[in-house]
Amino acid sequence: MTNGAAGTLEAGLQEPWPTRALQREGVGVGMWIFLASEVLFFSGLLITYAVYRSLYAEAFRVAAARTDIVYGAINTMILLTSSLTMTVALRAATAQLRQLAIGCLIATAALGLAFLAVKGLEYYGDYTKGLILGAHFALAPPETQLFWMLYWVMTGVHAIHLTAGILIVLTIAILFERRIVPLQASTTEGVAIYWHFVDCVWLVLFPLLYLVGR
Amino acid sequence: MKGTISKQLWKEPAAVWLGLVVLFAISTASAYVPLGAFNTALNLVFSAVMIALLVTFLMDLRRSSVLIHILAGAGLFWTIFLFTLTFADYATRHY
Repeated sequence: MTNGAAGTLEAGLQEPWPTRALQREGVGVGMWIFLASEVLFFSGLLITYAVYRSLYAEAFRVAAARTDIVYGAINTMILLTSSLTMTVALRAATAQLRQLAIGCLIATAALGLAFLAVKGLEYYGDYTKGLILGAHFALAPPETQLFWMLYWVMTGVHAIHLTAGILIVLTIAILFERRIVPLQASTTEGVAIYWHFVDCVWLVLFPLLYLVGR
Repeated sequence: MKGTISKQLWKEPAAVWLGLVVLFAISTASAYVPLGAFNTALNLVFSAVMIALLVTFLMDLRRSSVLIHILAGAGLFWTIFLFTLTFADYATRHY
């Protein structure tokens, strides 16, 4: 049961929270616990990268030089800008600026979609350059495939996280727009923390996948 | 009145965004300077600074409670263990 309908004293308050401040704190605690598990998930991939790179440094240099830094740089700019719009969305929700909050949420989702579109173009370019793992892989020595295995897995898992983020951001934008749930900071904050985390992951992946071997 | 508040909402995040863009540009440009093994180290230092900016100002960790600070540091804490113990093996085993 909620007492979140418009017109109540504490609009947007959900059980079991006695106040919105505590509810917001609860959302933050839950999301940061989830993100700690996500950090360790990505750390598994990063330690694999670090070990293989320490063993096969030259093969990693050769392999990384074939990633498309232009697409990578464009996508970094897109994600940094999406973090800006997400932050403003949260602050606007806190200040109860409805149109600005919803507009920034939609802009954030659009930037996320732009990232995926650029990533699609990049993947197609990688495919045409023969960088799909298997018998016809274009690079030598064989250890270059270790780098490209990590490239596909890391960027693929990141893209899945971003896709989830886009769906969540669009969902809350629609819920706010249609007034199904009242515009509230706690919901937006949980989504914002997740979105920024996905941005942070990219800031680690970019130098490891795109800047090596330049 | 709302317009003024809206402008104020953009001001700080936009300044942080600009800082992130500048750091990103310098980091990317530095990759083309031949520094050997230090290139990646430098790039990762830039990434760490960018993430610190993002977490502090855009994720608003500076305004969060001590409990959330601890939780935010938990993932990093165990990641340091993961890297230290793994490389304690790989860096010292010569067979």
